[in-house]
Amino acid sequence: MVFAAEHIDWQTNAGRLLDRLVAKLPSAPRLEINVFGSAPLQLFIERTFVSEDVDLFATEDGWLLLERFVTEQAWGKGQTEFYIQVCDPLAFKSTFDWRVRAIEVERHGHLFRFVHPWDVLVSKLQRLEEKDLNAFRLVVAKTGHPTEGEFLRHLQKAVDLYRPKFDEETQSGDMTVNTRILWRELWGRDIDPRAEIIRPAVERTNRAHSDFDPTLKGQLANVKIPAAPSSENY
Amino acid sequence: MSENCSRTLDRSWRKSRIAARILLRHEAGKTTTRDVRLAELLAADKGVTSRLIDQAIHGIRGRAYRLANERRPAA
Repeated sequence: MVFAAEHIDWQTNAGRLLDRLVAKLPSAPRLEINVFGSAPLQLFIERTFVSEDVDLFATEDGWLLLERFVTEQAWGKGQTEFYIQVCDPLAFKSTFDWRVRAIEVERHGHLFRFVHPWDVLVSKLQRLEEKDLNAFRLVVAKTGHPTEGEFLRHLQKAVDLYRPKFDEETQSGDMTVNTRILWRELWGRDIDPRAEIIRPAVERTNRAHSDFDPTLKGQLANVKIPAAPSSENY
Repeated sequence: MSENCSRTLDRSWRKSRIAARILLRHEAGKTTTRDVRLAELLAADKGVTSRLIDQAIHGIRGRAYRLANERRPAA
């Protein structure tokens, strides 16, 4: 897989729909549209990796505008077979630095930001239905990556997803359980997410926060005037 | 951040720099009665923390290091 703008297959279902979307969008305001879910996998890895929809989200400012526009064009959920799901910007959760890996493409005056397949996989791990597992199998089979080690390090960058859920988040899956299932499926072994993902990531954070001498204030309380040199020393 | 709050944070930083200088003088065996009195006050100040003192010590040493390098004639 070459994850680069020139390798986007615009002739896929997702590609054509996204192209139509920005071609019809008013040129102002210029929108930043983040594409996640299965679409980046279809566009970059396997054109036959089908999905019912294209998941995207805009910035907080552009969200309502985009949602309204998609509904007006009858491209929304329940309006056509292959539809656009305009998601809340809060809905996409992945590694803390997913934007660094995302591919940005300017098209018809708007910006598409395609989430890197590995970051798509992290977001899918939170649900891990059979279709999500297939996405993992596809990416690994087609590209040979991520390897087990690569994905371990990648998940350390999404360590906050392993925190206990709020009571209101009952619908979202359990990352720890899903990670165990994934490892058994993909790499044929049991994983201890706490030992291999959470702890190494937390240790990195702790190192950054405790990189100072904690005794300094205590030393300050013990500052004394240096003793006058005794005459016996001379 | 309110102006009042930012002034308070700034004070902590300044006090910690004074604390750092006292500790450096202590290390060099050059503390005075005034240093000891100030050190007692700063040690009891909750705005002065080991983390800020540590930053200040590195800042002071870093400045000295930079100045020494700048003074060194080019080869």
